[in-house]
Amino acid sequence: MYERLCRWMPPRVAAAVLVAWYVLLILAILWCWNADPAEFRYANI
Amino acid sequence: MNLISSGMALWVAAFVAAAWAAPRRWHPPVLALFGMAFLGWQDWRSLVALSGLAVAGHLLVPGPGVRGWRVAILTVAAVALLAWTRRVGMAGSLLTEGAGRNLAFLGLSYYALRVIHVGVERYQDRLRAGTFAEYLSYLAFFPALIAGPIHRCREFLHDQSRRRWDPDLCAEGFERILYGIVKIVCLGNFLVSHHANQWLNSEASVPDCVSEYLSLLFACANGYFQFAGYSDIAIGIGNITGYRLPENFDWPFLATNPRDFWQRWHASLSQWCRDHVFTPAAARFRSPYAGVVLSMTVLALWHEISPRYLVWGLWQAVGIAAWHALQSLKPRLPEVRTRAARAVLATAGCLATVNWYVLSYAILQRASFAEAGQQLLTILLFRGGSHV
Amino acid sequence: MGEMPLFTGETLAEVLAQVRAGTSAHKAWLTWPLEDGRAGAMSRGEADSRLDEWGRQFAAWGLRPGDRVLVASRDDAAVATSVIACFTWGLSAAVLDPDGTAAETQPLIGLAKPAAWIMDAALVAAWEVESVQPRGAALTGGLAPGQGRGDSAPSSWAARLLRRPAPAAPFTPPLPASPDDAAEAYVLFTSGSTSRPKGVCISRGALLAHVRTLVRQLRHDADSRLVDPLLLHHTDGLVQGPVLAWLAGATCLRPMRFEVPTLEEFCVSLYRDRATHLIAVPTILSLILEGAEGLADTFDFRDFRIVVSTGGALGAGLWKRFEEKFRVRIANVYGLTETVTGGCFSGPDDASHRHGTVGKPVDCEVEITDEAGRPVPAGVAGELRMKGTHLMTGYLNDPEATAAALHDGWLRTGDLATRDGEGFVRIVGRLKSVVISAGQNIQPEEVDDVLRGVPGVRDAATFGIPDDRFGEILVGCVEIAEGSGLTEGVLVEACRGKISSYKVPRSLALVERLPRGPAGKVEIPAARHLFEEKRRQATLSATPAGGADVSRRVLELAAEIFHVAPERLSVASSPADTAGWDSFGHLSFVEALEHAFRFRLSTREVMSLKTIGDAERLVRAKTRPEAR
Repeated sequence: MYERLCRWMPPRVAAAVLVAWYVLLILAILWCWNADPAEFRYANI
Repeated sequence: MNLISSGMALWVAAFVAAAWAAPRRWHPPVLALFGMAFLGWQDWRSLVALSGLAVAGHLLVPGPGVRGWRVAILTVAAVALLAWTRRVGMAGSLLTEGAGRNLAFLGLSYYALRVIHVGVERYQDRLRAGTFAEYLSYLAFFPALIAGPIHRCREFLHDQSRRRWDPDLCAEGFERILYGIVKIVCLGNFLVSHHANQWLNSEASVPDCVSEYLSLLFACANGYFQFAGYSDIAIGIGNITGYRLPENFDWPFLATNPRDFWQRWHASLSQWCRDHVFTPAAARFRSPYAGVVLSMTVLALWHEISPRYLVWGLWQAVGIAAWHALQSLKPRLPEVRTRAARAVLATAGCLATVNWYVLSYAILQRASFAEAGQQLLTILLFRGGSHV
Repeated sequence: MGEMPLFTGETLAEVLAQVRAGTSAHKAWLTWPLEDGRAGAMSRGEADSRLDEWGRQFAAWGLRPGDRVLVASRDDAAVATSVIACFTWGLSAAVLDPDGTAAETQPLIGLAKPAAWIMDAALVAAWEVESVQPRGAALTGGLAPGQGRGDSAPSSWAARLLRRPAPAAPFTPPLPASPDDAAEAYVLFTSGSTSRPKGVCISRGALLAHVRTLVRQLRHDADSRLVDPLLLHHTDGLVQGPVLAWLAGATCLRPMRFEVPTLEEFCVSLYRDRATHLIAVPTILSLILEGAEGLADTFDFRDFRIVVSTGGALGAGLWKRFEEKFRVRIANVYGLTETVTGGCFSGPDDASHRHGTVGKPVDCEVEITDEAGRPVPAGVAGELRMKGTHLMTGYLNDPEATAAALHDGWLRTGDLATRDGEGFVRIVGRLKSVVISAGQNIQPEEVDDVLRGVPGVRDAATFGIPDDRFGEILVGCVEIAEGSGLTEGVLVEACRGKISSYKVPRSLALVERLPRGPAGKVEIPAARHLFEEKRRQATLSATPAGGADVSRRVLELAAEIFHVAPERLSVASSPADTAGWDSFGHLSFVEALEHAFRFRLSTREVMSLKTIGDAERLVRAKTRPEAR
């Protein structure tokens, strides 16, 4: 991912973008986890 | 058992530590013991089944040059065990069979197929003779133990001798795990299972045909997010320990034909069926259609042995066979020349393929064939009105 | 690490001193296979102390700068350290093939007139070297004079942490001031005949100049971890391996002998050892490509830089398929033992990378000339001549051969080449008779001599024919006396023991009369024709579907069924890398094979077919006369 970003932007910017993206995903996971009632938290198919 | 939990995180951490701490020579037995310890902890019956199959597999088919009946016995034993746990009503969820309700042979669906795979590969002299520890480390590989993928022994042993500490691969692994959790928690659970379905149930103004269609689409999407998410996590843990597990889901909703779809949807299972059912059946009967019907039947019954899955499998076989028949007509049809025409054709193919799969969910979702038929008719005839 | 701080020295002696001062003693220099199958590993610190020990030994023997030391061992580390020790202490190393027979080697020892030797004890006895020169060190399963076995690679990080560094012993050079760069660095023996062996003398200046070129052109630096499976008595194996690694502060990995059964292990080691370069002859590349099923990830990692193809012509087809399959760039190097290793380079840079050519000259000039030595226009074939600082000084004790090869600073390569308008050089043939098979040079006259020595043989003519895997193979026609009862097998057997196994002809046609010119000399083109004619007859009577025909037909069928161009397919092509080879295509392919070759495959056979090579094997097995 980092190397692909580096094709479009300087390495430092790429690193910052990547870190921001990961943080965003982690926050999204935490938020969804807490917003869901317990029965939706686990595999259900 | 919860796959996303602090308990599982500890197991994963312990696994990664054990895999890297062991010297190269001790790596296979450490992997094997870890997988078995985990299995024993979760479901002792499954540990017994795995041990039995592993010993039988290693003794019956130690390498090439053995009689065919030995492979047959091994295959029948593994299939029988699998079938026994697949009796209607006993099967748990597709992903984590036995999750919560009835703990029935955790991971058997995957390791039974691996046992057959190694038997056939060894019989055909496609696999170098490995030690029992290597064999067991393959069967009981912790990341792929509960939810697949059904990886290949040859590739696995190749990785085993090739692996070394590789920061690139490890970073990739962490990224995959993150994406996997996003798929399960945010997309599968939060978005589709919870909110989309809630919206669908509360929205009375949606015409019947649309809401029926959406309920199938959501079921399908949820299945994809959950399963692809767990595959991501398995592949990610594999990467962190230096292994490259095969991809299980490769953007299936972009497939342009049914054959393509099955190379992208639960690919490790369809490839197993291709190699161990389709190819021998097609070669035996000299008919690719026979191969398709048989392999899709096996693929369907792998999920559950029941009439509804049988019909569901035949539905998929019809899709593939129809596409193949269309291919043989192709030379007689006018050639598609412009790029725009090709794009239109690909889009149409994609929509047809995906909806063929989405609609097949009616068979699985409804209690009876009659109800499933009603649902399909509602959708296909664009019936209006709204149900309450 | 774009800079080469180690390489600023003007002379080889200065560079060697810089290497010693400027590299960490803990850094690995060499790994090599031990007899028990494990790999030995030697750090620069360990190597330094071995060089010092050799220095003391050389002083004790009373050697003077410029003296020549014979080196021959099956232990790679012994050869590599002895050669570097010779460079370090101003001596010249003459490296011999440890598998050479006594009959082949004794003339070389006589030619080299060594002042001392370093050899495996078994070779000392077999070659009776002590009758020529009593002074020497006989190696008995170790690295005399240190007697230490190379430590095996530490298996875990814990062992690595616990290992104590070797103490630095104070050392004063035992030999007087180092010689200048005109002095001889080493002698390697190239394809000559027993009656007239050829030793190529390379000066210290030529060696240093060429290593500089190699480092720059092939993107080496102190981080290079080059894998070199080639033989150390060959210039490519020695110079592009341990010598280059030593001078560049890099690491040379010789994980195992390259053999087909261990192909997968070899390929796996590239990733595991974080290789940056693979130095290979085209035969090795061809074997890797053929065995590629499941090995597609061989070069797929960040550390790896380039594959270097050397020591023979790299076919454009192999080159392209290899690069496509492994997504890696091959740099094709053209040169001779007489030019250290290279001269023309095709790649790795885009500007010089062109399939089917040897690229452009680097740090040297080339010229293509007619028989009279006049340059020919672009596109016309002529003899390739080369001029530069990396040329040999001459052939050892052979002024006549030297004068024939070197003229006004130009080296006659004996290869026919063309040069196009853009300056790309293409090798199109050969003026000399040497045959290059799997990277090894064979002088056919030497083999002819051996064959003529067999009772019942009137005359013999061997020559090379093109071969997909080996580049060329040595074959020939033998004129035998009537009623001699000789067979091909007897003749081949007679060659074994007299010459090294790689020189033994692969195939011999027995003829009543060799084609001769007016002067009674055997005419090779006519003999070649006669050989092919005999082979064709033999093939036709033995199998209904002859060798190369099966391969071609199977490939054509596959190309037709899978809708791909035949040149994109090879024996290693499998469903994984062939676009149209899906499960339906598989069955169509089987049916096409059955139709074309008129047999029927069992279910098991259909299932066992996983590559084009499998299909060929099945067809061959099924169409053998006894199978019908």
